[in-house]
Amino acid sequence: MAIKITKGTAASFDNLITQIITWVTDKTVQGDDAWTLMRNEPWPRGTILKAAGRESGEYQYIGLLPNEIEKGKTYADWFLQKKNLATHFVWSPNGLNKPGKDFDAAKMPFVETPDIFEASAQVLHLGIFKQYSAELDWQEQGGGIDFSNIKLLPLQYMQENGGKVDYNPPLLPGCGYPTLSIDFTGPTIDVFKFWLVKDAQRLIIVMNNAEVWDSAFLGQFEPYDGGEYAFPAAVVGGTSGLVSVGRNYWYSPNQRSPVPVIGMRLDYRPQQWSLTHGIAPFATAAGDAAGIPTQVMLCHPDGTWQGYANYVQAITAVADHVCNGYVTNYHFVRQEPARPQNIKFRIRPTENDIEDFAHGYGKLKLEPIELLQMDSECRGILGKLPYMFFSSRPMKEYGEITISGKKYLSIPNGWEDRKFHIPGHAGVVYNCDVDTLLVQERRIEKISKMMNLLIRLEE
Amino acid sequence: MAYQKYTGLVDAAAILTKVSEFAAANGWTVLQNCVSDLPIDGSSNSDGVLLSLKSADGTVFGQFRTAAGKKIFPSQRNDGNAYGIGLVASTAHTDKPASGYWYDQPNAPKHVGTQEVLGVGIPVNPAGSHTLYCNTITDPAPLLIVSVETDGVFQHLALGALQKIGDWDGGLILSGSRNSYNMFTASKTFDATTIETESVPLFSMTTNAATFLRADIDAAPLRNPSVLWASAGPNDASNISYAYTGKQLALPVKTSEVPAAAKWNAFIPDYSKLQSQNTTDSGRNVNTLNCITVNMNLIAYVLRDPDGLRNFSPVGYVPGVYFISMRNVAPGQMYEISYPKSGLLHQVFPYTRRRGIYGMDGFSVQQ
Repeated sequence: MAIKITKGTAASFDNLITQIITWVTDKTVQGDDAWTLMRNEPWPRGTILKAAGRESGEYQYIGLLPNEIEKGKTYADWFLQKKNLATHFVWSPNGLNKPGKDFDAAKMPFVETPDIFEASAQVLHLGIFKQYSAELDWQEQGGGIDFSNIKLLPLQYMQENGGKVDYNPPLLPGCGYPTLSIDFTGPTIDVFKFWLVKDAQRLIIVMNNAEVWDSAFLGQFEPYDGGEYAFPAAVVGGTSGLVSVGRNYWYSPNQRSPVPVIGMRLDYRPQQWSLTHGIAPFATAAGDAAGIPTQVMLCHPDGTWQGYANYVQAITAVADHVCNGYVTNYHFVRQEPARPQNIKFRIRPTENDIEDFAHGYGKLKLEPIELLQMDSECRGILGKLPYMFFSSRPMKEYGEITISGKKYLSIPNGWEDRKFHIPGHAGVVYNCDVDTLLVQERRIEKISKMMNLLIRLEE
Repeated sequence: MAYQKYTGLVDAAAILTKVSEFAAANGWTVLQNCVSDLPIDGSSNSDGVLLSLKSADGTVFGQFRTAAGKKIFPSQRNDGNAYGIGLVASTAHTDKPASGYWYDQPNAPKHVGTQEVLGVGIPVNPAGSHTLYCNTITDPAPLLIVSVETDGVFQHLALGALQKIGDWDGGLILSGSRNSYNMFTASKTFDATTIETESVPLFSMTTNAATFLRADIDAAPLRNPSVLWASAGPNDASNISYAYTGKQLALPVKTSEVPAAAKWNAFIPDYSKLQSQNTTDSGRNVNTLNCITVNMNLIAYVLRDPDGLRNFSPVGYVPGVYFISMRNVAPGQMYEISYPKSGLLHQVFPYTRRRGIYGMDGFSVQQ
């Protein structure tokens, strides 16, 4: 099993997929490690490649699903189809709970056009499946990730008495899976650069879109086991798309103050500076809830998928200054990333503070990126992501570099000098004490410089 | 036996033509091959075609009849939109029933109150594009399943005999996505979602019974009028929509309309906890580890005399048809259900559609 590397430029995700298919299925390049294309179709059927599984004779299916998401349109076009309204809203206990009731799809009582997206973007969803069924859509393939319990920012619908009720909307097919993204209008400068690293069981995709970097890992990670782990699959992308947002909600005409409602929406934009978009060692969740998807998803020995995260970046509501006795508006301020309390799946060695991280030998060392389970059932390291490393010191340059005579790709967490957090975002500053802000700023800067990822480019 | 798929069929008559071809090729005897039939309202212009079949072992007789604008059973709702296919089972066949009505066949199922003939049926858009899947089982008992998919929603008809447990008189089984009273859709446009709302699972226990079993149950045949069929629904003759034949049939797949505490519920080993609990639930008959769904037998139970004791006895299995979860399988596709390698292929269908009104519930048909 040898790694193969290629690189090039792509004008779109469709173009990238075409180049990936050509390369990974080319027997002259890949030899016995060549994959088989099962299909290559637009959303929602997507691209699926058959790859070698963990053991000889076993297989896994690597999925790529491109989509162009337009805020205000894409979601409504899908959700307001009668069959989807029936499944997810009218007949569902999550919605109107009128199973079997017929209805007029043009007369749905939503307060606003339903949407779950904060912004438009072009995306490439990434997935791994245990089975392939030709007639099933991409996200329906067997062994995929189940997002049925995800709680997004509620939509509101009107009741007959004039009151408004919250409704938890479903995800658009493909959303929730780890994803690479570019702006809705396409690459910043016509094309983006990409690198592909592959062996028989895994594919790493790195893209550099005008110095905004995104990275992905698809395939079997290396578990520290004796062969008991049936399907040690990992899907890592730039983001799950989920970000924490807040809204002022009004539920009844008699309400004097809005209710600050905080929930998750999807924002895939590369420049979205929430840490929920970034490299694997600093995977971040949009909320501190067990089972929340992140950009690092792992298939556990029991067949369920778990999101791994070292940080949570949530939102807090701050009331406007009150003059007349009633709060008339809430601001929503993004908090500094914090360590999760309820997410028990972390990534080593960055699961603890790295402010003063340095290797004992004093030189730059490559630390393996390991997956750590620390819930009530189990506590231990499940395995590592091959070919990906965390550097023990801040990187001074990005792109292809040589370390100890071997080629690596050095990438920042998004872009060079990206801040870990920006104090005072949203125009509300909690603490105006300059000394406190300076300490915070310096700490953020120090951690930001450590947020790098190295990917091996040769055997 | 291997299934057959036919695409681009325009109406009910086109579907019956293909059903006839398939049945003839798979050992069924075609007694009347899509012949024109007169309407039941007494008028003289033909309004549909009739297909009569007999199983290879000579035990199962079935009459399919297209509806082309007029009612085809004595009592039917939504008859202003009377397009579809009706089906009646019988123990013998006559080309010319004494009454002149196509459905008046020997020992056909009857409503216990009105003594009107009951059957099953499905709506068919007279100007649609339908995909037809035909399946047949020959061993251990004959069964013919007709599945019509339109705009992603399936409607099914099934005619055959149970694989009996023990020795008893009867065995004919008839099932559909709707009973004859409810076979027409309320939607003038044949809206797929409306059609879903009106449908029940094939071989299930539900309020508007759409599965009937011919069986001599204790002294029921000696009642006046005699009770020769059991229906998988409420024991309530007041509403013909329930299609009560006078004896109850119980099946392990139950819709949510069968409340556990209902007096007419049958306390038999059922799959209500394995079934999807709502539209987005995958049910419990699926394994996240290996994505396997298990073929669950469809066992038929009948209510024994005296009815008041509510004792049900198992009488047989629906041959070659099993309850499954559709979570990891696609409608109309073939899967090797048993693990790891059995060589036994099954074609799978949702009751209506995946993530539809019955969630991921569906059935597999052995090939």
